[in-house]
Amino acid sequence: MEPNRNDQAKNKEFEELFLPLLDNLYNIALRMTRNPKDAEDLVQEAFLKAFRFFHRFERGTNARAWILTILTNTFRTRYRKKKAEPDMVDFQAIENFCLADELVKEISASDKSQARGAEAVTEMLKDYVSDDILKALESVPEQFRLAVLLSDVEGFSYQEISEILGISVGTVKSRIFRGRKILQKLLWEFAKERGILKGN
Amino acid sequence: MTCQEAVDQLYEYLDAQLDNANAEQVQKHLDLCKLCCDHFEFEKQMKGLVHNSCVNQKAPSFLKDKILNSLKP
Ligand SMILES: [Zn+2]
Repeated sequence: MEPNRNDQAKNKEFEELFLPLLDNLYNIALRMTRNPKDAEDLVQEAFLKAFRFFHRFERGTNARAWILTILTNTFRTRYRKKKAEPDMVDFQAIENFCLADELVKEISASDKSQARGAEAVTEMLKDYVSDDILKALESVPEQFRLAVLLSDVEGFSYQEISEILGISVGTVKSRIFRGRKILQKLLWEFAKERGILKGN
Repeated sequence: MTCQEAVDQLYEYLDAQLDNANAEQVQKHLDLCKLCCDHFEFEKQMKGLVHNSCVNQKAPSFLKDKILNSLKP
């Protein structure tokens, strides 16, 4: 049977709205699932669901937020248990952790003449490559990782994140804050392990 | 505004989640306080690093084909 004109128009509209988001969704899916195969499956499933429920999408609202909500929910129901999540972190220990402070301390300990605060810390941050950041992100427990990703990578407001994750704005806030602290702590540990920091 | 008050709102300021009045107060503090300003610059860079490390993968081309195929009526 020939596809009718309505179907064709619907397909075209869907593709125009959502296909440009494919790389974006794939990147986020990679960070969620932490492996390419699952990321591919997750993205495909999100697209299929979005297509199936396209009639519920309100024209003129944020298409990226809408499909990301679908992606996130799919991830949370389907893929979350496949790869063991890292153990919950000891919050007391990380609550006040500040990577900047640690780096400043390190700098002044290793070279007193060069202790110049912000500029020196900026220099040291350059030693972290993308892989370090990604590896650290992978070890941030899922609930915190998702909140940080939606804020830092997607640039959503706390209100938007609260709608995507189905949690209160206060919870979003605390998950982002804690997620960032956990990430900083992990980066600090990598730096020590790998001797990124000169002078120890 | 004290340093502690500024630091407490630093992430919300960074994420542009404060209302204008509060944002202005934090901004004022950062203009005057080198310590908090450095701290803010650091957090801003961290946010940028996370962003940049998570946007550089291209979806495999077969994935796009797979999706397009599955949408065919
Ligand atoms: Zn201050």
